[in-house]
Amino acid sequence: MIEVLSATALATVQDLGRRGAFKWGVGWSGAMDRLALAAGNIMLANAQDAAGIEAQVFPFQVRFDRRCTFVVTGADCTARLDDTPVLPWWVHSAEAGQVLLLRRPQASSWPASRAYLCVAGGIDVPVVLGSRATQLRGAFGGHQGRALRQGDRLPIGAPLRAGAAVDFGIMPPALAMPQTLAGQPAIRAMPAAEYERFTPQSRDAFWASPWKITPQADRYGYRFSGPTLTPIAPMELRSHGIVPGVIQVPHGGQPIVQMRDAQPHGGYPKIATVIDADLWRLGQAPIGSRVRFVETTWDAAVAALAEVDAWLVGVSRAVDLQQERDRAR
Amino acid sequence: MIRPDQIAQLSTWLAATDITVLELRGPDGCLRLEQAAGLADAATQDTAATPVVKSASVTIVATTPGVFLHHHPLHTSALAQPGTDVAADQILGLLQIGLLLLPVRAPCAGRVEGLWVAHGTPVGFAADLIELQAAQGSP
Repeated sequence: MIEVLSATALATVQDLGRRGAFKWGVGWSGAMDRLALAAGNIMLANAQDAAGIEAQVFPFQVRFDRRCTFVVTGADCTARLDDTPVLPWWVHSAEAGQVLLLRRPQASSWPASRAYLCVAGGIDVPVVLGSRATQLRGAFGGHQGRALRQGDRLPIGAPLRAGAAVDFGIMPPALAMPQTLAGQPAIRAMPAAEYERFTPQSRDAFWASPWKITPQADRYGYRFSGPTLTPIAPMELRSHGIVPGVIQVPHGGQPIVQMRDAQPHGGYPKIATVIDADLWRLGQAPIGSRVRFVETTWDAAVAALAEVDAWLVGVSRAVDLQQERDRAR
Repeated sequence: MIRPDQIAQLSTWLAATDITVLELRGPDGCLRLEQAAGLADAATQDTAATPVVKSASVTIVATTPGVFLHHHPLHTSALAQPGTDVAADQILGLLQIGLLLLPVRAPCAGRVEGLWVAHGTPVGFAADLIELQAAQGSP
């Protein structure tokens, strides 16, 4: 069991998300930074879709009630296990009774906002509609369909591999695959259905301007501030299906990017869509920071997804190498 | 051809690492050196470096090739600033092999005297990494 000690809000149990349920109006959910969760699971010899805890408000504190192997990926939270510093993206062992504290991410070589606590065996909550991810809107999945509260006790699954390697780290993907434009995170996007119905000046401004993430940014969506995006003529659309990554422009002309907990439909005009391969980068961008949108194509988006998968394969190889080294000793 | 004294030297170097097999192939033949499992020093088997004791000063050397890092890639401050006191088993540096990061731990409590190579330097087997002044009473 893992017991939640802090009264911190908004931490949830997440896996890679609930795909294939749009037909029932059920969105993806899942980790905002899916690479961090998947890598954490690979490092622990878990299935890649095992569930972990996504923390986004700090300090976040838990107690392990049995010996367990864990890794904290995502943002660097200068974590401590009792009095011992815990390196980010590093496989550690905790003894029964030890307390893990995640602190507010500090300015680092990678400004990020969400941390993932992965444990060997995964957080063993029931699978609902094919996933363990918390579906906040529908109040199901995860731990009782809600954000974690002080005193919650989460079961840990049985580790898949006994004696898996510990005490090694993995280079975070933001450093292994940096992507910036003018010093700001570069997020690739494709023009969406109503792109041509915005003025040429608005289209140019969309790609050429830094966009600031306003405080109205959460797992549902990010509201941005920047130049006003104006349609050539007013648009009234019927509600239609949308997916995470879709960038809508409501009447005020300030874009909203749909994130992992987005509802599966909406009626605002869509100027562009963030590609799946880059959603994790946006998922980590802190409130108040600025990002740039970079135009890309379908083929480039598919290639980018393959690059992300290749990085995960690279992580698997590195972990296998460490496993071999461990066995050889 | 490899001379016997070169084989002896290679064996010595191999023994100081946790590499199990060294194989050299050339037009004239093949040399294969194997290290029996379990020969590694139990006190250092969880670290990527092994200590060489020189009086009270301990030189921590790399037992795997890699890129020596003074600090974690996400951090800006060094894991072991010269002059700081460290506990036995504390991580003093990292060795990066591709995406993999391995710890370089203190074999005993002591004070960091200096770092032999700059942050981000590729190092080979047995490269001197860190100089540690062992604390009084440390093994």
